[in-house]
Amino acid sequence: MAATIQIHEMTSLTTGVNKTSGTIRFKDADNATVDLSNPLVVPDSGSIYSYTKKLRAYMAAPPDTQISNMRWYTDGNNGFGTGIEVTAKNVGTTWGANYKTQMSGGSNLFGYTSAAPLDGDSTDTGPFDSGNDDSYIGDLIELQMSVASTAQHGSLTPETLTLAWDEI
Amino acid sequence: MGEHNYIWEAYRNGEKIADSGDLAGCSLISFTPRNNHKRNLAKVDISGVKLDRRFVRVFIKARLGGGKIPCLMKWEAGSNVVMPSASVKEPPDLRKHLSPGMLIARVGRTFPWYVVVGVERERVTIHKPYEGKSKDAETRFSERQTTSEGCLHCVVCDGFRLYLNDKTGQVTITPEEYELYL
Repeated sequence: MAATIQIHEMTSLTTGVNKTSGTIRFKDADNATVDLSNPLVVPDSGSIYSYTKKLRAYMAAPPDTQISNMRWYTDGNNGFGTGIEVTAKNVGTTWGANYKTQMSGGSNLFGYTSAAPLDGDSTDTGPFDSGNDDSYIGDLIELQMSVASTAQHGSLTPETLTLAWDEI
Repeated sequence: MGEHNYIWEAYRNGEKIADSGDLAGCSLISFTPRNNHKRNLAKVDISGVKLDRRFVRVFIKARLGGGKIPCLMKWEAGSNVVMPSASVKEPPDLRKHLSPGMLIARVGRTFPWYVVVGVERERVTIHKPYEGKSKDAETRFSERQTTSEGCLHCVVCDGFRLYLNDKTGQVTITPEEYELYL
């Protein structure tokens, strides 16, 4: 039987909210709720930053044998428009509180594509098997949206983030 | 991920193998569609080549972003009405006499198609009107889910790889070390 793996938006190192096929909303608040509260507001100069989001894979049902080679990527096209960017990095398995100052050391999320995905298991390397059932696997992926004064206000078309893995 | 559309089996010295990823010594691997009466997927056999290993590459997705990006309206004297640094022209010495309600009304008269979402002493936050008939309608729109997921069956052979799309039956041949992602 195929494994069931979910994308979780983490609220601590060991707890998260299932966002598989759901929405990860960047906000000016540290919560995983998808609503219109605490929006990011276009600044009159410079840039503002959302609270960081941390994502991790969760094994809800185990594979027959094992899971490995976890990768995160986008379609490579930033559809959010001018002045809006998302930065991403792998932070391993060390939990840190979310913050809304500019992330250091990250890269453009849309630079991670199917041709060059973000490594999702460089620290927690796996392979992952039935012994990891009902637990988090792989590394924490940290994301942050920035909104510059050049951004247009209005609706923000969602983008898609893909998690891939190899399963036996 | 639920059941795959294809089930596989391999044969090693006449023995049928239907689990694990090791195909060393196998002479044949077959992918057979299950419940195929609607999908019309093709059966795929690989034989006559040196088989090495197999796995399934699975893809799941989440949506990023969505929602609305409001802009600030600076509460200051001036006549610049270019977004996002729009201003409402009022003499500064009148500010202390204005209640939030009066401020909202003033903004509403100046920018009638925008919705005030926040009022502070020095600034007002606005964004475009909700696209649905109500805030509730737009919230539901924002939470709309994507259900796209998929998987590729991969067979690594000597000199090449074969990826079989579990949903469409499409077969892609690549170099032996090539990593294909949907």
